[in-house]
Amino acid sequence: MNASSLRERLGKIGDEPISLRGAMSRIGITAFVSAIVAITLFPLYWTLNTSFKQTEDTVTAVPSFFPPDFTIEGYINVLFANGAIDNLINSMIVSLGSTAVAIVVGVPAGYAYARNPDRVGGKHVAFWILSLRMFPPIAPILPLFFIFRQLGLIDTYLAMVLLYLTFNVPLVVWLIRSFFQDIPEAVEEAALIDGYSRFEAFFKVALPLVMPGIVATTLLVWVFSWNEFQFALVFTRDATRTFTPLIPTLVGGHQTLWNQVAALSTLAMLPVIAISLLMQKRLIRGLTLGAVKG
Amino acid sequence: MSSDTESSRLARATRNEYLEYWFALPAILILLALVIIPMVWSLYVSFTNLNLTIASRTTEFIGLANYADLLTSGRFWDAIINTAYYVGIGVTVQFVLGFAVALIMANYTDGWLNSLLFTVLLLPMMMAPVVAGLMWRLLFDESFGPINHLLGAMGLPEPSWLSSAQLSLDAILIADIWQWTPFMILILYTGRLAINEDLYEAARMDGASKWFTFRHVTVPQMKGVIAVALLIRAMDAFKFFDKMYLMTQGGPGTSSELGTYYNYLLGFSDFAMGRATAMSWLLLLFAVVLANIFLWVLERGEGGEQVV
Repeated sequence: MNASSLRERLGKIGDEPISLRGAMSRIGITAFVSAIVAITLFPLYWTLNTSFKQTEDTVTAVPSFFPPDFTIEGYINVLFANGAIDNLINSMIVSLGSTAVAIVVGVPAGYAYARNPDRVGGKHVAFWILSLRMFPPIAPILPLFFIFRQLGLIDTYLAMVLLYLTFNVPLVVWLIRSFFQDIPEAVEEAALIDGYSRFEAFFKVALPLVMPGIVATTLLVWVFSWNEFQFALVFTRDATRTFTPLIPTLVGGHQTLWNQVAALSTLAMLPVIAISLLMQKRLIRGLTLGAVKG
Repeated sequence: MSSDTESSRLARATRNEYLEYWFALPAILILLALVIIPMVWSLYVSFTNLNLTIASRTTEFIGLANYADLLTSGRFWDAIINTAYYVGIGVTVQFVLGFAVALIMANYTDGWLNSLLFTVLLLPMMMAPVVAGLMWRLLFDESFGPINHLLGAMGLPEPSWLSSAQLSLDAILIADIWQWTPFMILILYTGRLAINEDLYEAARMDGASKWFTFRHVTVPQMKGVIAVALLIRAMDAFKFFDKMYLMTQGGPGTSSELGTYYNYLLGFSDFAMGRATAMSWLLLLFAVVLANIFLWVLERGEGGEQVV
């Protein structure tokens, strides 16, 4: 390639910001970003809008883009008159319980597979654990329903905590494994030479180093448990029904109180939105099981 | 410890020879008890006529009858075709849209605009699919929803989304595309940023066209990330019927019924455990075959790329 054509090309790149084309493309980019933000947020906005309407304003032939008569009646009624507060509390108990157990069990296992990939069944068992994350929930639900019915565990917190372990434990093991792999083994070897036992090297040296990863994993596992629907649909009744199977029961029939359903959905979204904002880039890593490091 | 000699240190280190086993065992035992043993039992049940409502009937071994019945049932195949459509079209659209937006974000927008997009795009994919389903149920409503209101205002036809056998599955698909395209965008954007900029600099110096750079730098460099994104998304789309349950419950008729939901009905509406477990094994088989074909294509592609 000759020098003049190269200069031409470099010139083109350099010119862009001040040219008409540059200005046009900046307008294009702004329109593009605005469109994505609008499309992404509109359904959330609509739910929020519906949740603050009077019941009769939710079903008008011409939908109102702002609540014509702003009220928090929907929230009060769904939480207290219809008792959805109990369902949110049930969701909280089940999700916190299962997350705690999954972390306590999964973190050491993740460490074992990160540090000694050839032991405890090695890669095969590690991949087997990962593959459980891919199971359609209905597959284990069918036999577990039968077993739990025999054990009298239907509609108990214990059952729900155990059931959620089926997808939480694989997720924790796999994510924590990826976080430990980021930490050079030399750190623990130094601790061993200093007279630490292997357990102490894990507990006092390696564990504090992956704390940010454990926090991120905990939040993500909690969100998945909070959002879970299929197990809750089959295994919960009046005593432990979480909010996810409650929502469909409020929809349908001849008179749906849309402001109440929207209010419950908004409340259920709040902690999840807070966690998303908190985690930002770590979420990408979590959602790809550690494969993509943000 | 006063006698901290080299040998005692070594002894202490080796005393924990079985640390990995103690560490991994609880997780493995839990998964064995909660998934593997039940699944073995499920395989056994799939060869029987176990029905939870007919308590008096003795459960008999009926061989492959459940599988044969399913494979010759129209409703089974309709549900499978719906699932293939939902997963195939959904993931393809999410991938193409997501890749395009990710590349625009990486190449043309900068700084705070990208932070804004990143934050906004995290929201849909983190919310409960049931909640996302509710949102779109509100938006698609034929008498008071804003979508048909806007279409009508523009003089366009106002389709009956959720009560039409032709459109109900597409309406769920649109909700799924809304919820999960952000996942594709963010993963592919993260993957694109990880590519060494020198490669693009070199391509530019050589006068490579945008298409050529995309084809021979961006795509091969991102192959791993693309595979992860497609695999995770396809498996999740296959697994969940949450949105469908809220938006249509498979209706009208069975027009939007997904495979996992039909499986749920066999178990918990018909209580035909034998047939339901047989179907869940067929679904698992489909998932495994799909994942393997996908990984095989990927491996072959990688081999081809090395030749180029």
